[in-house]
This record gives sequence, C-alpha cells and structure tokens, in this order.
Amino acid sequence: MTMATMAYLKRETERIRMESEQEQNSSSSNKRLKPTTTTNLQDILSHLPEPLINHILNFLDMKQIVQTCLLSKRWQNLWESIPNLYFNDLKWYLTQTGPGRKFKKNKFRYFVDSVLLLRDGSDIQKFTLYFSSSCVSDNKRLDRWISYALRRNVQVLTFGATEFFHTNVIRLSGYVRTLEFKGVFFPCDDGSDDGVLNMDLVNVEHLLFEDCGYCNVKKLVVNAPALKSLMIDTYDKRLNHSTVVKICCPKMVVILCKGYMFKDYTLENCGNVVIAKIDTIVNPIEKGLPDIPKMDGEGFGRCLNKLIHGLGNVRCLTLSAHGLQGEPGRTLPTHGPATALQRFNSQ
Amino acid sequence: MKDSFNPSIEPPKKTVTLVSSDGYDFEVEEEVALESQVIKDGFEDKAVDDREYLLFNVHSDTLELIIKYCEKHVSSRKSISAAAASSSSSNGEEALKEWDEHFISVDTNTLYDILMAADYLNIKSLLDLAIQKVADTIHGRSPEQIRKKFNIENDSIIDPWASE
Repeated sequence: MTMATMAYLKRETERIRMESEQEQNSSSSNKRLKPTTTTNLQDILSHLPEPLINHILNFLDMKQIVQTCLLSKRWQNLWESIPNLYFNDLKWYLTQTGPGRKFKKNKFRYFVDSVLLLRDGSDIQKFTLYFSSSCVSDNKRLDRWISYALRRNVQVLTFGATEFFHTNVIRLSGYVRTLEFKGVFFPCDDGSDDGVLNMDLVNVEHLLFEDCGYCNVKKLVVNAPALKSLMIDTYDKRLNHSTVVKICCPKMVVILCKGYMFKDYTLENCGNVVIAKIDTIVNPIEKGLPDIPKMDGEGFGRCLNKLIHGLGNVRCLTLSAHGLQGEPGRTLPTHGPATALQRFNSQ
Repeated sequence: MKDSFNPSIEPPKKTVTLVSSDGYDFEVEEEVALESQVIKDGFEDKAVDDREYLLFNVHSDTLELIIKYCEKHVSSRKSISAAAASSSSSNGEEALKEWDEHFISVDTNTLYDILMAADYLNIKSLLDLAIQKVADTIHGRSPEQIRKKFNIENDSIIDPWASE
C-alpha cells in the first residue's frame, strides 16, 4: 500500500467517523456507534490457532482434555499432541464416595495408561501426576509412566500425594530441569538397613520438596551437580524429625528452608549460594505427640549453625524470628551463628 | 532551551497512533501502546514522527477495548507503585482484578476478538486473562454443553451421544 492510498484511506475513514459522530451526538450518546454485527455466535473456539488452543487446554485436567475429542472433527486429534499433561486421581473419586472409590481408581490407572499409549509421541513439556499409589504394582506403573515421560524429553516433572515403594523412579536422567515433590512419601533405598535415600539428580536445576514424608528415611542425600534452586518446605514435624539431610549442590544459588527443621543438616560444596532463606519453626509446645523427641535449643542452634556455615559466601540471608526467639532457656551457642550472623548483618 | 523558561509547563505527552483494520486512527499515549510487546520490540528503531502502527488484524471495536484495558493497567500500576512508595495500604491490585473480571465478561465473539488481538499484539496479561476465561468456561462442562456454549458444529461421523 502506497503512502498516497494510505493517506486517502485515512481521510476517508476520518470523514466517515465525523459523520457517525454527528449521528451519535444527535442520539445523545457519546460513544461511537457499534456497527450492528451479526448476532449469531460463531464457533470461535475451533477457529483459534493451535498454540492458543493448547494454551487454553493447559488450564484443564487431562480427563476433560480428552473429552474434547468428541466435540467435532477438528478436535478429534488435538488432545494427542498437547505438551502439558496433568493427571490427578482426586478428580476420579471425588464424584463418587463410599464403595465406588476403588473402582474409580482402577479406572484412573487405565486412563493414564491409555492416554500415554494413544498420544502421538510429541514431546512433553510438563508432566504432573497426583496419584496416591496403594499397592506394589502401582510402583511398576509409576516406573512405566515416568520412563515414558523421560523418553519424551519432559522438562518439568511434578509428583503429588505419591508414595514411592522403591527408588528407581527417583533416579532421573534425561532432560528434566524442574522436579517437584508435593506430599510425596519417600522410602529408603532397597536392600539396605541404614535407611539412606540417595538422590542423584543429574540435570535438575530446580528442586522442590513440599510437605513430603521422610519417616522411613534416616538420611536423605541430595546430590545434584546442576541444581540452582532448592526449596524444602515441611509443615508436619512427624514427617521429618528423625531425618538427617545432606545436600551437595555446587551450583546452587538459592536455598529456602521452610517449616520444621530436620534432625541435622550437612551442606557440602554449597559455596555459591547467594540467597538463603531459613524460615523454620522449631520446638512448639508439644501436645498429643509424645513420641517425638523435643528438639532443644542447643540442637536447633547446632542445625542453624551448620546451615549458615555450610552456606559460606551467602550474600542475602533471611532468618525468621520463629526459631530464634521463644522459650527462655533456649540460647543459641554464641560461638557459632552469632559470629556468622554478625558477618551477614553488616551487608 | 525555550522550555527552561517555563518549567511549570509539562512537556506534551508523547503519543503513538494505532490504526485499526477498518481504518480508524487511535491516538494513545506512548506507555499505553508499549503494553504491547510487538510495538515495544521495534519501538526504539522507529523515528519519533513515524510512530504509527497499522494493525491489520484488529478491528476498531476490539482496539477500543484493548486500549481501554492498557490504559487502565498503566494507570493502576502507577497508583499501586505510588501507594507502595508512600507505604500507605491500598487495595489497588484487588480492585484491578475485579476490573479485569468485569472487563472480560463479554460474549464469546468479543472474547474471541480480544483473544486474537492480544495474541497478535502480544499483550501477555490480557492474553492470560482471556485464555483463563475460556478455560473457566470449558471447565466442568460436558462436550455437549461446550458445543452449545461455543456453537461448535458436531461434524463427527459417529456421534457417541446419539448411540447412548
């Protein structure tokens, strides 16, 4: 389009607009009148370009996404290639309570199997699985599903409410960048009585433990050479009071510890951490939980001490008031964190 | 140098002209137009007197809505940051959310236009808003209900609902 025609077009539209404005003024409306468009609604959903449809489907549960194949021909195969898979078994028995629960769960297992079988084999971006596994055979299923996702180059892997019976499933390779455990109950490694759980995560950059259970784990070892951020969040002290954590992440930049403290911490090779936030709750008034040994002030101080020393050159350290104040008689060992804290306060 | 004699007078706000697909001009403030990532990307390279954008895919009706949205977001962002600076509590974000919700409560045709325009202009917050709206509409509905809601013609050879 040349400049001249453009200018003409603009002049012309200006004229039309002026006219319509005059019309409007006479009809005492300030707004430009909307040209009366056809009122019958069009099939807007099917006309959207595929990336936008995928974007919309990202907000939905897999069950409903698969249902869209019934809509029309256009939709028949769309679900097969969506990159984000979200499975939640909760959706499968919330509708039915009582004796029907188990049956639905079987259906859920069958559903996940079928979806993975019928997908068109395109890459997976996000794989989210909420699945309260209840028998040993579920573990094989989990294995199968996860290895499928890994073969499809999954980037973000999230597990919720899952109980792993053995740890093959946690040993991840492939291109997983983000790994999230939400309410996952961890076992210890098979064949060893010492209760050590080793997590060797080769490519993982972001790792999250949210309200996970470590009752069977005496020692949790996280070994992740590429890890950049780690977040541990525990809001039930029954789950982690007897567990020792060892973290070895040379590239870690951000670490967040929230909730109840573990029994002890060892940080190895974590000198690159820039931001650390230790927002821990410790030693609340015990009620109805007599089997949990109280962590005394000294124990807490030792943990904090170890954490802070392990973090070496941290530039921004946030400590919550929760753990530091409280009952009299709990004092922080003066030789440890106090000196360390002074150093950080000056920055 | 002339301006320095009159410091009280604010410099005129820079504007950008947006031209809709049906030929209407919309003169908007620079920062309002910059809400669109597409405009923002090539903005600095363009000469100041040539800041005119022909939006062949956006009808004037839709453009009006889009500009309304961007203006609201620019102004409320300012007021929120101003409130934060003076450390006075404000429910600006809440109010904006409410406004958004009201804004996006439109019929499906308009929603489609907004969706396409937001995608074309790459206005992320608006695109997210519109997409969330569509997803909410689909959520919890059976295929038959979705078809009705969005006027999807059932051209499948086998109608699973008929066989039931």
